[in-house]
Amino acid sequence: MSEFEPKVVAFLCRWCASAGADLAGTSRLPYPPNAIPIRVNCSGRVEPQWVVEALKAGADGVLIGGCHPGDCHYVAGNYKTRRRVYLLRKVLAELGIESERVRLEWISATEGARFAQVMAEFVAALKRLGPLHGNGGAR
Amino acid sequence: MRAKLAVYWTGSCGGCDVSFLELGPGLLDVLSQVEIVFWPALVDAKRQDLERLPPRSIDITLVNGVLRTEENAEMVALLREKSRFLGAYGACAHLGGVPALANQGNGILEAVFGPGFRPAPPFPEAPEDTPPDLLPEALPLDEVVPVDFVVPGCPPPAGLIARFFEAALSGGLQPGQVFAEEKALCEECPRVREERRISRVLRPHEVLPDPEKCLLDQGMVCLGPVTRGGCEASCPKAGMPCTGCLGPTPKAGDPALALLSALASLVRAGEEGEAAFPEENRILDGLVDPIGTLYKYAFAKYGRPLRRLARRREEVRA
Amino acid sequence: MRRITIDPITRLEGHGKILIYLDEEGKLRDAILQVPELRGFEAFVRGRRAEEMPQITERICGVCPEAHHLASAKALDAAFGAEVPQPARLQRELFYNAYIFSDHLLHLVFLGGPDLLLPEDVGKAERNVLGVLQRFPELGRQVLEVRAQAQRILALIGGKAIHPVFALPGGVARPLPKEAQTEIAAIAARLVELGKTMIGVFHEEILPRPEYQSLLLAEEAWLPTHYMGLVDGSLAPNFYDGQVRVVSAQGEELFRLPGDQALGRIGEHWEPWTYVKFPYLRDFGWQGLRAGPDSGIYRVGPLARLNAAERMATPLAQEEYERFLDFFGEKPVHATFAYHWARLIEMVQAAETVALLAKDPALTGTEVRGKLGKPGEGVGVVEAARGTLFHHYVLSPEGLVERANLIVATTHNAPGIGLSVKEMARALVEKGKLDEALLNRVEMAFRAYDPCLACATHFLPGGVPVAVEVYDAHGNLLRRLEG
Ligand code: SF4
Ligand code: SF4
Ligand code: SF4
Ligand code: FES
Repeated sequence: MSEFEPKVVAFLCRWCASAGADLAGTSRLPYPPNAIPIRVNCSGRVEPQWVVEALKAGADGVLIGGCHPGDCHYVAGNYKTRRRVYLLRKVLAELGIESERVRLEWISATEGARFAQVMAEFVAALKRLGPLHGNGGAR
Repeated sequence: MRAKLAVYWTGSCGGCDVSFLELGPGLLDVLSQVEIVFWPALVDAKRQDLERLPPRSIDITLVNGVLRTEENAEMVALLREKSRFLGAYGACAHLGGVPALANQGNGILEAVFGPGFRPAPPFPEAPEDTPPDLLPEALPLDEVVPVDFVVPGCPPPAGLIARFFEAALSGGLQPGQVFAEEKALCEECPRVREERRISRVLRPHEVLPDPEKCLLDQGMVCLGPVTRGGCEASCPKAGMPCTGCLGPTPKAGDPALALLSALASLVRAGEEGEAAFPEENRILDGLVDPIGTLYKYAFAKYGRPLRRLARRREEVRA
Repeated sequence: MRRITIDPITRLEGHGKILIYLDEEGKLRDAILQVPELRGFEAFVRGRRAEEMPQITERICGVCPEAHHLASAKALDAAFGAEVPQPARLQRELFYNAYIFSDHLLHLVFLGGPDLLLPEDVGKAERNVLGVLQRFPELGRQVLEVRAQAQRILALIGGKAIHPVFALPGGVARPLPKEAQTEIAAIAARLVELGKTMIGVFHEEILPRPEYQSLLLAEEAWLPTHYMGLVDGSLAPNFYDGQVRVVSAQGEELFRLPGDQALGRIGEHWEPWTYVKFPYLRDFGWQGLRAGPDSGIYRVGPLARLNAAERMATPLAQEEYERFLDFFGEKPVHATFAYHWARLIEMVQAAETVALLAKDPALTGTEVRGKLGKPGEGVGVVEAARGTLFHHYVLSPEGLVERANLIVATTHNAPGIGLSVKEMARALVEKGKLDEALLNRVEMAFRAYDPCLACATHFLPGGVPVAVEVYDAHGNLLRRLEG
């Protein structure tokens, strides 16, 4: 059996995290290619329903990347998202889903290395948790 | 010709069955316009009698209750075949209802009877008299058969029952109809909502709410913003938050996630910023038992898919 | 072994089945009541918010949600060590009596009514509430109207009539508006009026009939058990509050205790062939499913309450109670069919109590929440229409449910119902022919208890959907009789 490769859906704010991811790419920083990136205008636009849809549809983990505190282009989108994720993780835990599968990170446009590191950590953590969908990830 | 009507319950509390009486003397008008062909409670309708009916010979069937046993599932499949229109009546059939909160945990038999209980027949010679097996999960009606329309509520309020019969008896039943508003309950709630910032999440017994102001504004978890209107906001009018029995509006989708999102937007601990995070978390921790609170009636429909994923993994590990 | 099934009868906390077994000689081997359904409330309420319990547990039964709602609230009062302020208590008590009235009325007219009000020769097709409405159009319409008004009281106080939302630990959700009190007081007078009318109808149309009298005195419907009911300080029945009094089959007081202590005197026995538990009095132990003075089996509900009490709490009810005792000439009254009469007496007490409480100026008082202490353990007990109802919770320090155990009215009565059915079955088998009249008696023995959810089920045309199937020793269907 091949090693389990977690599927990650990453909702990335176009002003910061998404740009950070691009930078990681153009700088040829090595990071695991497990993420399907989805660019959003602001992390504050990410609805909990999208996160859950992603998990239901086959993702083993969901990453939300937003601007650092104080840097959100819409002033407080990232704060709202932080609170949402806090509650969402509680709900997931109650359902028996490890809350670590949903991760919120602040990543600025200049932090290509940080993006690479976050991805590496997240994928490693998901490998430890194992597949969410119970078929060993052999899809 | 009088419309042929069937009513059946599965795992129900009976509240849906008695709710027809809330029409008061108006019930007599309804009764004069229908012919009851199957209603185990009312006429001696055994399963064989139902089996003998030609397909689609019942005009309208209303099913109330959650699907809890193997037999429930078989019966609704049979009813589906015999009915032109089949509707989910009440929150249990519509969304799973309160008894579907059982899907969150396991071990119902053990918990009720203590470890060691196993159903068995009264006499070994009568194995067919063993109590029937429970389904692994409590399910809403549309998980087992296609559902044409919904009369929502726990139980449906008299106004919506009347609205349903009006449509049904004039031949105006449309597939996909839900006999409640598309708009949120807040629209019909007399309380004044200002979408205030919330600095604490309050449980109903912790405070006597202001009689005029929105309960959510006062920090109570009221599902009004994500729930369909149609009950005239009975609960908020009586001083209690809406718990969502009419089901989510089409816009809200998953009611728990929609409300969670709204709540996160409202909670504040003074000036926003990193310094406020710990205090914000503390406020959000005031939302205890989020499953029972936000999915009270809708767990089977919305929370169960993820719960099922988790459970499968628990089983694999065990 | 031959097997007779009565399935579906009607639901008891779910779907109910009666199974009758005959041996090779055709003698009764056993007759049992099986509850083939389980929703597991005790299990899934764990971890829920305590204050939600009145609204969660009422979904056990939509016919008597009011009883669960308040038993639950009282368990929470105790668990939080709260005193309920007078206005809140009055709201609850008035609400509760309106519920008893409404529920008893439902049974008397919609369920028992067809059996009691219609002559015996009326065919099955008309033996239903429509038949009653045809024969007594005036009374029928009055009943539908007044019941709707009693339900209106429930909605005014409870927020909703079915599955109310108003009770909280230590009190109720909000002060009652003044207009609500005015409306309630006006309705209350109509409840009492209807109570009087019903007593009149009972004495003119029902009691004088010989077939009804023979039913009341029928040997196979005479079951000597102990009786349980809540009583107030003067030993009159109280539906909402009081002490649990148990009198023996011979009429002696066995104990009179507050709910939490009374609960300790009840044991629960289970059998693998049913999902319902069998409660019994620990003092006697589980002696198997049989009645008598040395068995632990007791009954609850209207008849049990009248047996457990010494008087009624209100004047009209007391008058009727005396007539009731005169008729039977002894107490306790063991006649199962006396449940109906007892129900009528209670309905009148409930109506009079509503009228009394509706006048109380404290009803609209603004102090509706008692001070709550730290959450702990508590027992709440009320008299549901069908009998004593216990809720017992253990709460966590955060006010979440850790453990819950409920004993509901129909569960207390499950052994009694089983035994009544068995006695009826014995009579049926001995007479050797399964005719419709006998069948109807099994139905009626069952219906006398007004099993929980029965109301939900047969309040419209038709009788209880009883069908009896008789099989031979090889499992072949010999006969099928439909009720
Ligand atoms: S929807 Fe509510 S009233 Fe209807 S059966 Fe379910 S719990 Fe009872
Ligand atoms: S109390 Fe509830 S239903 Fe009424 S406006 Fe506020 S949130 Fe909406
Ligand atoms: S307010 Fe909410 S919970 Fe109450 S009846 Fe209306 S929809 Fe149902
Ligand atoms: S714009 Fe980046 S998080 Fe709001």
